[in-house]
Amino acid sequence: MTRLLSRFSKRALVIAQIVIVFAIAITIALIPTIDERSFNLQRIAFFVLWYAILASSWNIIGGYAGQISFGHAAFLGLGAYVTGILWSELHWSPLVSLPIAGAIAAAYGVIVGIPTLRLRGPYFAIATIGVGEATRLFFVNFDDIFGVTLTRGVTGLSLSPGREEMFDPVNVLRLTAVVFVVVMLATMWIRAGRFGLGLFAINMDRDAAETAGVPTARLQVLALAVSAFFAASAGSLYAARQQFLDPASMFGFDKSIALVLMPVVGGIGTVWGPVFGAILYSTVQDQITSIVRNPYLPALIYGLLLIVIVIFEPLGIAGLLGRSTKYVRMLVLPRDGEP
Amino acid sequence: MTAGEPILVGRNVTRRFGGLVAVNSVDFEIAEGEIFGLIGPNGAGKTTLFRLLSGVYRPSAGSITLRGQELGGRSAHAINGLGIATTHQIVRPFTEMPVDKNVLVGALYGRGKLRGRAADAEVDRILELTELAPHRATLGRSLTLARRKRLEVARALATRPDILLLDEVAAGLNPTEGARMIQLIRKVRDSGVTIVMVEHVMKAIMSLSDRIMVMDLGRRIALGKPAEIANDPAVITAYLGQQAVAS
Repeated sequence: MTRLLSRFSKRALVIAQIVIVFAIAITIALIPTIDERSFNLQRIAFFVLWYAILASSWNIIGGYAGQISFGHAAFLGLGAYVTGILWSELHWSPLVSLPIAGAIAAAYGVIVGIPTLRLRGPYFAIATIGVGEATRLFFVNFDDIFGVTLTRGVTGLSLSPGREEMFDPVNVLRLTAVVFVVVMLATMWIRAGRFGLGLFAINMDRDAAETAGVPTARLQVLALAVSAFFAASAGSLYAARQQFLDPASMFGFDKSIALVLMPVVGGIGTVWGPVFGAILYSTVQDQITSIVRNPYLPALIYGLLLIVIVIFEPLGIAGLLGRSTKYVRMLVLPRDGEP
Repeated sequence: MTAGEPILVGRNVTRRFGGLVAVNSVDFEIAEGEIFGLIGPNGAGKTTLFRLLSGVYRPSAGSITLRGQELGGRSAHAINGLGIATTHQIVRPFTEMPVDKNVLVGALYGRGKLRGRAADAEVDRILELTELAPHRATLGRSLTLARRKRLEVARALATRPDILLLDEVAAGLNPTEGARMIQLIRKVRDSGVTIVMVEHVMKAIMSLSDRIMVMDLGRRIALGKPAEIANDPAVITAYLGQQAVAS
């Protein structure tokens, strides 16, 4: 009887979460319809969703499987540049190039993941820093290496959209809302199922997982590929919205750090933590640059925030919210250890 | 107990770590349905041999075959998929998962590859068998040692093995808990699972095993029924030294 009840309430919780995801996406997609001139709000809304997509994608490999990647900007930048190059060379719409960018990044994730995911703990993290930097340098020097004019090096790649509708910021915002829904449903589905349970088992004890039959290497590489796919789709969205790409901002180490920071601050390994982290990060980032002139001050604040969180509330904002009421807890926090 | 066909056969099994030969050309044949004990003083190579059987280590030389199928060089999860499940000497529960999820990992990913309700039903059955059902919602890290040891057995059983490797599952338990563990091992064997166990608790291994293999310094020094082993001069020498045999 109690199990039946828990099964029922589990289903209700899943439905509630799906409703919330759709509600967020639809509300944001309707902002331009309600007020056509709300450009600033639209920009903020775009970046909240954009960072949420990135943080959630990082969470699949970093939070679920426990493999902390400090080089995730590699996938973000790869996605952005695939969309940028496919537009400037072939005039393929971002709508078409987004899944292509995702697939290329996923393949890159597999290639990078097979050797690096054999490493454990800090060694994997260090290797990913190398991957991130190598990828950035590759794109900086791309044209020189191949004797072509595709990425235009440090000067950056400008997309001149002409009358292409997919570059209209309103359409980009709506596409971003769709991608957000897909990513959220994917992370919820992974977390609740067999794949997620395997990743959490690897996270807690890789050797014990292996002897219990979990194909740990294969599962981790798959998680990295899925994560890379979504990170690259965020890159495509950025290219479509900003219409300008340069290696420093796309592949920058600060981007990789932001991708670690958001899920950790929000609640690592939870479904909603990365979203909380993204909301906090994008609003702080937005405000801070207009208030403080020193570009290094935010980094200091984030550093302090990170230390406080790791010490006092390892589940971040999700953990804090979970302390408030039973219902909030049920929504933002999984039952202890329950994927 | 009538011994069945040989199910797990080792020939000349050797494992070196640099200059140290931890397991030195050991031969064995384990029969289907038996409880096969493995004893020896500290450093004899028992745990290394176990890790060779479960695929955590690869043999440096020799062969291990399961029903004629070579195991050497396969990964641990692949060996689990062929029907050998193992427990860990130092217990390794998934600490942040409740007991039932720990067992579910084995049910979903083990040889049974169960799905949905079939997996849940298997978890229920195994929790009953291992007397962990009342603790199904307890996190792995909050369990007592005795329950962690039973969880090791439960998770391994959930993978539906033909052979269960038990690495010191009775060690560190009080007499009551130890007796419960012995009972559990008997029940598992009676359900048709072949058991290979390493144990320092002599009472457990002597009363349970159909046959015992004794190792010392990486070599097999004796193999036989518990009574034969207990009176074997080589075994007594290994455990107590030369004088003990003389007097």
